[in-house]
Amino acid sequence: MNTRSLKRLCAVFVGILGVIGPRSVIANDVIETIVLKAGLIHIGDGSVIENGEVLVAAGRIVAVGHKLDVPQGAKVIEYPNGSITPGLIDANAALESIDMANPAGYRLTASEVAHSVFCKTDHHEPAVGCCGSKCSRAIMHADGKHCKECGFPNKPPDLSLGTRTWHSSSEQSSEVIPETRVLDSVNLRSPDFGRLVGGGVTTVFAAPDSAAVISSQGAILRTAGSFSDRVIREADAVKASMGTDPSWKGNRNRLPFRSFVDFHSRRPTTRMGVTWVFRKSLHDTRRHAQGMGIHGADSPSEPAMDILKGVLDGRTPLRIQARQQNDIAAAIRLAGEFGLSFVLEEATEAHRCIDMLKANSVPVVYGPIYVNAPGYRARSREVSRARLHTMRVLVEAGVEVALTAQELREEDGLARQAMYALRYGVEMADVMKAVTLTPARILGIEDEVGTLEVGKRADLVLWKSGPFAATSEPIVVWSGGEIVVDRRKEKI
Amino acid sequence: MPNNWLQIQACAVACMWLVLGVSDMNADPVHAIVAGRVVGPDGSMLPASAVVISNGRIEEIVPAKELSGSGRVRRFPNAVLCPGLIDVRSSIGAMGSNIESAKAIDPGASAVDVIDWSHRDFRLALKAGVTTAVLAPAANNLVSGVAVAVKTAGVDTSTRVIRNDGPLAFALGSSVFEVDRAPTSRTGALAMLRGEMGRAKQGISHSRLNAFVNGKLDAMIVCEQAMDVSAALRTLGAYGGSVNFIHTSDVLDLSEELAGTGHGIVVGPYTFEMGSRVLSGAGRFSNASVPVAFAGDMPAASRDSLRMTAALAVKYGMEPGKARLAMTSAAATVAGIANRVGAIKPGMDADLVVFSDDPLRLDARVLEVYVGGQRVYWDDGNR
Amino acid sequence: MKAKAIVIAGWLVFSGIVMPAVAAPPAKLALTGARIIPVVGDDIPSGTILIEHGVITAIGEKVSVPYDAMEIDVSGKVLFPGMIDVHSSRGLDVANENFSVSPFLDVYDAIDPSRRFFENALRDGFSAVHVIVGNNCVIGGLSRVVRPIGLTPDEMTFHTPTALKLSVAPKHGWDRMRQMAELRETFLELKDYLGNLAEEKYEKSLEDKDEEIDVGPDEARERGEKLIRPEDYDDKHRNLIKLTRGDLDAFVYCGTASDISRAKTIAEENGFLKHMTLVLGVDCFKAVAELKSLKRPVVLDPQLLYRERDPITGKIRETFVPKVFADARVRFALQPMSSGSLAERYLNYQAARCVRAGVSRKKALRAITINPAKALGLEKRIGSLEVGKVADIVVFSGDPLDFNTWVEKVYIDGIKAYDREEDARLKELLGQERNRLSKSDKGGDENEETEKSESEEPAKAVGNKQEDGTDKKSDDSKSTITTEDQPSD
Repeated sequence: MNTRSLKRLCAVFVGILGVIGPRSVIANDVIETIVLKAGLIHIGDGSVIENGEVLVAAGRIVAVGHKLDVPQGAKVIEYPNGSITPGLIDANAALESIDMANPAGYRLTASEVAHSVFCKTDHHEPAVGCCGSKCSRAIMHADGKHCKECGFPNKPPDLSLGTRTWHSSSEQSSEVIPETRVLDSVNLRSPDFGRLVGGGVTTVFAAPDSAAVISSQGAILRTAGSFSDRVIREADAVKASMGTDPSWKGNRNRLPFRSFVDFHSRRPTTRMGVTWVFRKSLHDTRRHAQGMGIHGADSPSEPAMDILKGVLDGRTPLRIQARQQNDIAAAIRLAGEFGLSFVLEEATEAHRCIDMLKANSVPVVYGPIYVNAPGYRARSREVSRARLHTMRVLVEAGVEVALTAQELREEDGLARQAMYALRYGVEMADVMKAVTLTPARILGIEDEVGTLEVGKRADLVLWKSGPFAATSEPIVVWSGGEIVVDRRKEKI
Repeated sequence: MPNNWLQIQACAVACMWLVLGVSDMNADPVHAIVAGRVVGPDGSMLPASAVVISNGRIEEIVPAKELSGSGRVRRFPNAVLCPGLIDVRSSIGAMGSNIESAKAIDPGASAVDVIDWSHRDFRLALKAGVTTAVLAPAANNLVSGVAVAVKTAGVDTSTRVIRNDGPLAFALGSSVFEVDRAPTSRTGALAMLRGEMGRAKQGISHSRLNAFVNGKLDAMIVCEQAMDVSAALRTLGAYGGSVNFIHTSDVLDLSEELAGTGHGIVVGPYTFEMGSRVLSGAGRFSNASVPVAFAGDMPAASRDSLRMTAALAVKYGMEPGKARLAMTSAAATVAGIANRVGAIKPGMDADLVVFSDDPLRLDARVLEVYVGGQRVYWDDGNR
Repeated sequence: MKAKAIVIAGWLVFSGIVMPAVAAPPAKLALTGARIIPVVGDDIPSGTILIEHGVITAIGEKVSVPYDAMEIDVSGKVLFPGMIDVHSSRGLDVANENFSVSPFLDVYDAIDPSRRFFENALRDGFSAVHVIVGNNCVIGGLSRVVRPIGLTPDEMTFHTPTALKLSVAPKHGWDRMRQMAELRETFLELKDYLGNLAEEKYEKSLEDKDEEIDVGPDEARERGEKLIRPEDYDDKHRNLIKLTRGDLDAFVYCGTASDISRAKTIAEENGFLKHMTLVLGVDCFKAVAELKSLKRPVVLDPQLLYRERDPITGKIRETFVPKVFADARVRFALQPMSSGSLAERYLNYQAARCVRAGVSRKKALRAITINPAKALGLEKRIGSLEVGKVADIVVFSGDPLDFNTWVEKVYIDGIKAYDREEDARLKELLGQERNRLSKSDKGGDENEETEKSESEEPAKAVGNKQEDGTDKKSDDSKSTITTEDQPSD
């Protein structure tokens, strides 16, 4: 491509630089036919096309291959050193719950939170207020009501992703809450989405919190585009959690009227309790569905049972988070008792459960990859056997596995997880599948996204060089044929 | 019993006012007020006009020179006549705490029950030119109850209440989440609300909620964050005669979402210490043709917070005319009392304020305040 | 040389990792057939490095290898200078002493050779670590450059004393006024001390000669100055005097952009401006022009990305800090991130991020090798692969900026200090370890929970035999295998 046409292109896309501007649907963009040429095109199913082309029209992929029939007047975008992949899909993205911390979404690290909460003044960094803005003065919230910088109310920040759990995004009044929807606590305006799409992720499953035994329904969302078009499914899979998360993250579940917390008033404190609540809820729901009476403690509420009926029928997908090997085993056993199929989440010790997972054909949304557990996981005591080769072992065993970054939003989020997977022995074809096609399949949206195939939605990422390389990053990201990230000016 | 009680109270107030002699309500009713400029129904400044008052209502507005008839006429050739200001979210005159947290969905609560009619806040509000205060139950329940709109002056409590049956106040945000009752979180709150709306649609909820979902009751929704507005829009937007949002801190991107929906927004109070991101909110909304009203949050905020909010909003991009409306008729619309107060047009209550200059100027003084055609406050230079 | 080999072997046993004892190193060693990235000078696509007695004596495409040199074929690999951790307090048990002014301290007394940090440093391709007092001080203490291998600080030491640590950013719980007052006060007191010492010396000299004091105090001080010998200085002032006379370098921590002018003033007034390296907080890039005019080496914060919220739009603005310095043509050294991240702990990954953000490859590579060496004043000895330099060499499996590249071997002083083939801990994490660990670590405490769950799971070998019968033992005994230290401070 000559520089003039490049300049012309840049001129057209002025204003959509870097972060997604809201409402940046330029009619031209969607209707227009674009030809993308790059050194390498990853289809998403593991195959690649060298020096290929992708033809996009009206927001859809029209053709993929070599020397395509390009209609007159089509815009050509060519990067011989670059590569094109489908928009990445994170099938277990823990979005900012943004209860208190971030009106506009600056995410506090645990240390910043600690600083803002526990330190009156901060001497090395400007103080970070609960609102997330950095303030060099120590008078933030000095009036005791609002942040003086932004007017945001003075409340303890949301630490559900950090180290404390005062404000979990999920409802704490019960440990069985499938009637709630995680979408209600997702802020579509959060810059979190900008970071996700900046890292090439165009579709996410907004995952519920793990503080309840049977938690909320997740949502499937696009990370960019107009707000009205963002929500793919308002209420999708129900998430359940095994292990210690439901017992220690949910410390707000108390009896009314501020009674003291004792072992009567707390939600399950042991694995036995967690399993009991899970089993009892589904058991009660089944009885209820059959018109029989419900007895005993810990019965789910009516609205909860309405959703759980869907889970029993297989209408509503089920996901179970389990880290340790015994928790994975428990998940498989419980699902077996009720004849449920489910998707396993996190699966830190999946490398120790390969046979089980294969025998029961459990798809796994694995990740993030860690040795030293990030964030709250360290407290769960379930991460001591984390290994770096888990993903490789899962792939080699033929388990259907998607990769996720969950709440991690370092510079490159999911791409970074893919980078790790590559380093720890997974082939590029498998890594690519694990962040595109497989998550699309797990979410049941593979007809729409996940690969670069004719007819699918034009969610594409153009990478500076190869995808997931340390020196590479997305230069342009398209969502539905619309450019939502454009770093061409800064990074050519 | 309540009637009786009201009467007793009314007498007490009347006696007190008489004894103290702070009001000239027994003087001859004013026939007309002539001012150098008058804030018109569209917020713009009309040239010198006379507002003719009869029976406590505005009869007509005529150019100053065409004023005829007899009676007392007050002339303010250099001043500005403005409709009485309306604080659409205040706790003026609230007696003790109005925080109730036993039930998260509490449509039965009514703010009229907490009003202390002789509260000194009313007097302070009058001094600031506020003639109507809207009180809602505290925003710590999902459904907080119904608001009440009262005049800040008047001898008879029954005439001071403009409206005591709404709008229905909702609240979303961290103030609703409690440790010791559901909901504890946004997801829980919205699930509860959806469930309750479902029941209301079947007609098996509280009568006020039933009325709300059938469009027979308007609502104002206190939202802590922009995402709460979005959630409320999703969950409640389709119901109600008129649904307005109250939210200040993070409104910039909301203007696009609310534009064209017909829902209005209440912002404020603004203070000088707030960031420009917050302060430019009002202008952004009004430029997107979203109705904007200001909340003064008296007496928690400063006495002149309504006008300060307006002045700051103008500084950060709001049209002056729209800012004047946001303190008066737009606020009346949000409170559902626009048929009575909020504008200088024939038929409206003669609740008027004489400012020494444009009320958007912070150095403008309140010279006189009329409620129902009665002068209830005047500046005796002895503040 | 022999002593060093024993040291290495001893260390390996000590740290509980069974590696075959390293044979005594040959006096001459030739690494042949590898791509060489010398950092200073052009890359050599395929060449040889000759090491004699721990020093590089020849480097090039064609090097005649002496008959008595041990030849090691590293074809297909990449030879790179040993990387330098230019500012780290993680080798210490605690980063900071409680005293605010403690120039008499020396990290020598606190270096803990068995910290996991050093093991990791070696694994990650570092051949030198500048161990220095943390930032929470006014005047910290003496630092030293050590090898990440050895049983005692003496064995580890490469260069000492390297620098004195100062901080112009407030110590914890202080404000900037107090911090600066303390710094000024220290140097004023130093002048006073020197004057008094000189006067004392002069008086003493007269006393020795049985003479009466004959001049006023100012004159006495001037005369006495010449009589002071270095051993007369007390502990508190000795290092400060060295600093002000240019015999000792300073590492000055600046927490924020405005601290840089304060650092400059203090250094200028007390004569160490030309011996100062600035350690920068993340937002110091805002003073890049000032830093440029200072012409002193700078060490960037490990956090390379600076995030700031736009006050109006609320959008996060991101600044990639090294790009600002590269564009302004200010030479900078990078630090690895000490947190648990799997990526930023590698200095070569930090360099790769720079390249991603648009910094030239050359500048990025210099920022992790020769620039840190320059910041330490050791650029004549380490930091690049050049004839005459110490043979600190990393053998990479591929390009250093590729994240899939592994550190295969690390040579320090021409001695093989690390070999991935023998890295038991890494193998365990990667599922490559099978028998070795379980044999050496039998009898780890039994975990009932695991017992139970094991019985549920068929203990059958799967895939590439990750899960054979020995797995249980290794899992139990090594259940807390990580590659990180616990946070120390």
